[in-house]
Amino acid sequence: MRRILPQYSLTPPAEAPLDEPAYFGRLRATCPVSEVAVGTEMSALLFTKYDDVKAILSDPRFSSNPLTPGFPFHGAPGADSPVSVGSMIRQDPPVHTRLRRMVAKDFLPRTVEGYRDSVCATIDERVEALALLPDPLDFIEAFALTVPSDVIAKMLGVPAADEPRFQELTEVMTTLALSREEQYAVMDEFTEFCYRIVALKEREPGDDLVTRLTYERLHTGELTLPELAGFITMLVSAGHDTTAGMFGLSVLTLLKFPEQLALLKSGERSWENAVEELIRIHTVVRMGPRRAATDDIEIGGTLVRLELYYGLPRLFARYPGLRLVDGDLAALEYREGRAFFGLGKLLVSLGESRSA
Amino acid sequence: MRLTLDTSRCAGAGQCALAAPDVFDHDEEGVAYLLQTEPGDQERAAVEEAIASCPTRAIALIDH
Repeated sequence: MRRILPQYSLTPPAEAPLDEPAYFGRLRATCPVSEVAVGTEMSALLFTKYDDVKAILSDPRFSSNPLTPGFPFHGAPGADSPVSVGSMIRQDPPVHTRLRRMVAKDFLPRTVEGYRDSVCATIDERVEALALLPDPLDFIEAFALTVPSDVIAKMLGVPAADEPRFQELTEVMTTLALSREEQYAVMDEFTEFCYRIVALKEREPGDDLVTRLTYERLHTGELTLPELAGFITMLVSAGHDTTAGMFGLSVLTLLKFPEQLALLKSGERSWENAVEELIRIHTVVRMGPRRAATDDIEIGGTLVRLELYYGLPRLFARYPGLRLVDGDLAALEYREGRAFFGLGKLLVSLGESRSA
Repeated sequence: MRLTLDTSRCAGAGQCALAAPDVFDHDEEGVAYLLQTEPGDQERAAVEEAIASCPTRAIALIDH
């Protein structure tokens, strides 16, 4: 007999485009572990309870690799692109550990702190430019997307002359509305762009990340040229629209709650906590981590069988520490540990430090 | 309390040193190491946060 399962979907309700799909909330309340259809031929377990999700993400027996049998491929854009599959965020240890360590020192909190002056200068420049634009302006286009592009371009060492094209490609590449063919075409063009930057750094080394990866990893044989391009692509897409999304959602949230904004402006509440809480509330990584079980594993009383895959929705919007009651943002005054973009084997500090 | 840190699992996410800067640091390659293996009780909350934050579960409390 054919069972009818709810279809796994990440599409938010039309009337609330910034929210998670309503059925996540319903499932969390009534059935925190449920079987859902993923695409037309597969089903997966969908976990919506914080503790279950946390247990899964920190259990090394769950694989992040889309090539693991039973991995929930469908239902998330770009999951099966070659760049995505080869990227370190889709790998398990020890491959993940080897790749992640190649940039560990570049994204330590103290290293990121070293970017502060340069990031502040970039932001000041962009804020000044906003004042010259006619009203109304598109904040996302004029500010939110350009700031991370500027910062990442400097970090990587993209020459000033190439920056406009770099920004265009980055913006297109991280647009989820593209068709699959369009997405692949822009990824190919970005890969070519990476090859050109690497060739340039071989001729004219600079004090930047691409130069370092080229000399320390490519020339030593630790990375191939396509792997290096994949690495750069991953760094760009991990930091670009996550940061842009946070800028846009944070500004919108503070405008919707002017009394909170006033408390921040007067210094009665800390901006640092507000940034942490905004990251937690909005959870900009929409696609939700997916894993495949490599063993029979019990999670919160549910047996997850080998090769039965499952998806996990946005995790932290309903984090137990969050004080979001009836749309009231009292949350901004509290701090209960840091927000995570990912537990498991993700690039926590990478996203967190850069987005801050 | 006594701690161990499995450097082969460390991916250099940097979370431990953020949570407990007097107990953890990172070497020049970004791999974490312990500044002290038997931190005092005043570090307990920070160490517990560091353990919970570590994405690769590289830190363990072996003696409470």
